[in-house]
Amino acid sequence: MAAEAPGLARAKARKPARVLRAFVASAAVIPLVALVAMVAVLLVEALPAISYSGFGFFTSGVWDIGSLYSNAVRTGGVLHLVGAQYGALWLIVGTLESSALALVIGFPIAYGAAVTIAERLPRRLAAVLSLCLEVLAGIPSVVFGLWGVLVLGPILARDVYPTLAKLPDVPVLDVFRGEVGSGEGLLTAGIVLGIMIIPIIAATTRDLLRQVPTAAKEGAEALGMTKRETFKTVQARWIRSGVFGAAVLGLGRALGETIAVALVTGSEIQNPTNIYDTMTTIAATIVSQLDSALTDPTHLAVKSLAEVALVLLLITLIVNVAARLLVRRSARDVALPVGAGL
Amino acid sequence: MSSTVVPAATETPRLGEGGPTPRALRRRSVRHFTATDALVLAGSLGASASLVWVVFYQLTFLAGAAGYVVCTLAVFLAIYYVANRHLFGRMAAADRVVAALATMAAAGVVTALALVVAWLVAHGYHLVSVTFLTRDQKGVLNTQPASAGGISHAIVGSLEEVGLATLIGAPAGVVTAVFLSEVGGRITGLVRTVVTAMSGLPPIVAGLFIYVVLITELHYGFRGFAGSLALAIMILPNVTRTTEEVLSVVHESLREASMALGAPAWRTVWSVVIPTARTGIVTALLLGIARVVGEAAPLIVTIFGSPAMNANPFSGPQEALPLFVFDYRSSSVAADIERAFSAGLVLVALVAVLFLLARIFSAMKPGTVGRLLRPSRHRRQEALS
Repeated sequence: MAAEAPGLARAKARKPARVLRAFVASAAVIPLVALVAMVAVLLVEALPAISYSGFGFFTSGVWDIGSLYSNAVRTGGVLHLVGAQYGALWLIVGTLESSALALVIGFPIAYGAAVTIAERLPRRLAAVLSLCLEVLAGIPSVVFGLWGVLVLGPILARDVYPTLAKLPDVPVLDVFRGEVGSGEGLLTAGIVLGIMIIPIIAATTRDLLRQVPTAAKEGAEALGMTKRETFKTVQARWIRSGVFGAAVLGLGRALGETIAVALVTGSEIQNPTNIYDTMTTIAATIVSQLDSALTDPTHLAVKSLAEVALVLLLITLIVNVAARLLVRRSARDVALPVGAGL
Repeated sequence: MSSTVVPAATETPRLGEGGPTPRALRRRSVRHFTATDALVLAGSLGASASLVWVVFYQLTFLAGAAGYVVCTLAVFLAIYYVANRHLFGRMAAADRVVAALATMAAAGVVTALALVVAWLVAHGYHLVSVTFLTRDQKGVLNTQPASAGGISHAIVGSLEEVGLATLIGAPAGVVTAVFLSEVGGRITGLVRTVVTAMSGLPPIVAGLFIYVVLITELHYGFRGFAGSLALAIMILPNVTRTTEEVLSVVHESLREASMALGAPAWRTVWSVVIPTARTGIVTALLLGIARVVGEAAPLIVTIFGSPAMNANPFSGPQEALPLFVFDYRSSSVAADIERAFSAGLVLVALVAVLFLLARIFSAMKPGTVGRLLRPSRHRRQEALS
C-alpha cells in the first residue's frame, strides 16, 4: 500500500491531464481537418471539369456553359451540354491584375499611414488613427462595392479618367490611354480594392515599426541624422522583409475579395482592352455565374466553378503562408548596418 | 516633421566664426515647430492651391474636384521642397517632404473612411425608423415607396447565422489557440501554418465548399444553418490567431507561481492563464464576429435569401443583412436601392457596436469579465479574504 500510494496518486493526477490534453489536441486538429476537407471536396467536385477542360482551362478565355436547349452529350466520360467550354484564363489574369493594381495604389498609402502612426503622432492621435484603420477594416465589402459602383466609379469616369486618358503618350503613361467607359472596370476595382487592403498592410507595418529597438533609433539620432535619415537607415531596414510580408498579406486579401469586386468590375468575362475596361475575377465570377450554372442540367458548370475556386484557394493559401512567414521572420534576422557605411 | 536642421556639412560655416550666425543655422530643439515653419507650410499650400486653380479652371477645360486635389498636393510638394531648401537646406527639405508625404497618406486613410461613412449615412439615414427595423419585405412590391416594409427578417437572419457560426467556430478557435500557446505537441507547427493559411481564406471559397457538401451532395437545401457553417469556417482562424496573441502576453511569472504551488499544467491553464486572459479572449471573439457579420459572399451560395421573416435557421431560405444589400442594390428600382443603403447603414452600425464592445472589453483589467459574469462568487471570495 505505502509503496503504491505515490504512484497511484500520480496516476490519478495524470489521468485528467491526459484526457484534457487529448481533448485540446483533438480540437486543434479541427482547422487542419477543415482545410483538408475543403481542398478534397473541391477537388473531387472539380474532377469531371478537370478531365473535360484539361489544360485548356488555363489557356482559354471562353466561359460558355453551352446550349441549354440541346441534349447533354458525353465526351470522355463527362456529361456536358453541346458547345460547353470552360476557360479561366481571363478570370485568373483579371484576379492578378486587379490585385496588383490594388497593391500599387494601397501600399504607399498604408505604409505612409503606418509611419505616421508609429513614428510621428502623439500617442492619443495615433490611437485615433489606429481606430480609423480598424473601422475601415470593419466596413463590409458589400458597402465598399456599393460606394464604388454608385459614387466612386461615376465620379472617376466623369472627372479623372478623361484627364488620365489625355496624358502624353510616353512609355509608362500610355497604360492610361483608351476608352474611358462608365467607371465600372479594372482601374475602379483596383482603387476600391486598394482602399480595402490599406488596414491590414498599415496595421501589420505599424506593429513591425513598434518592434524596432528604441536604442537603434536613438543611436542614429545621436549621430545627428534627420528623422528621414534615421528612418531610412534604421527602421526601414529593420522591417524590410516584414513590410514585404505585409504587402503580400494585402495581396492575399485582394485576391480573395469577392463582393466589392463583383460590383465594381462590371463582371464581364473578357480580357480588358484598356485599364478602364470591364473585367472580372475568380471570386466575382463564382458569385455572378452560380445562378446560370445552376441551370446546367449536367452540373458541369458548377463543377467548373469548383475547379476555379480550387485554383483561387491554392493561390491564396500559398500567398498567405508566405506572407506570414516573412512577417514573422522579419524581426528575427535583422542586422543593422553597423559600420557598413550609409 | 520637426527635426534638427543642419544643412550639409560642406556648406556649414563654423558657428561663432565671422559675424552673426544666419537665422536658419541657429540651434533649435528637435521637436520645435517655429512660426517660420508654419508660414512656409501655409504659403506652400496657398501657392499650390491657387496655381493649380488657375491652370485647372482658368486656362484649361480640365475639371473635377478629385483631380484638383491630387494636382494641388503634387504641386504643393514641389513648392514645399523648394521653399524649405532655400531656407533650411537640402537635408531639411527632404526630411519635410517625406514627412508631408506620410501625413498625406494618413490623411488619405481618414478621408477614405470619412467619405464612405458620410455617404452611407447621408443616403441611408432617412429610411431607418422603428417600422423599417421591425417589418419584413413580405408582399412588398417594388412599385411601393421605400418606406414600405423593412429589414427585420435580414437582421434576425444575420444575428442567428452569425450567432450559430460563433457557437460552432469560436470554441474550436479558442481551444486551438490554447493548444498552440499552452499545450503544444508534434503538430503545433502544422496547426499554426494551417490557421495562418486559413485566415486569408477567400469568403466565397468557404461558401462554395459548404454549397458543394450540403446543397449539391447532401441535398440539405438553402438554410440559415448552411450559412452559419460557412461563416464558422471564417471565424475559427481569426479567433485562434487573436486569442493566441492574447494568451502569449499572460505573464510567465503567473504560470510559474501556479506550477510552484503544485498545480498540474492543465490546472494552470484552466485556473490561471484563461481567467487572466478572459477579457482579451472576449475581445478576440467580438473582433472575429465583427469580421464575418459583413460577409455576403459565403451567404449568397448558402442561404439564398428570402423576403419574408424566417426565424428558423434550420428550415428554408433565410435573409441576411449583407445579402439584402447585395440583392437590393442590383434592382433597377430606386426604392430598392434606397432600402439597400439603409440596410447597409444598419449593418455598419452593427459592426460599429461590436467594435465598441471589443474596445470596452480590451480596455478592462484582466479578470474583470469573470467578476461581471459571476458576482456572487466574487462576493464570496471577498468575504473569505
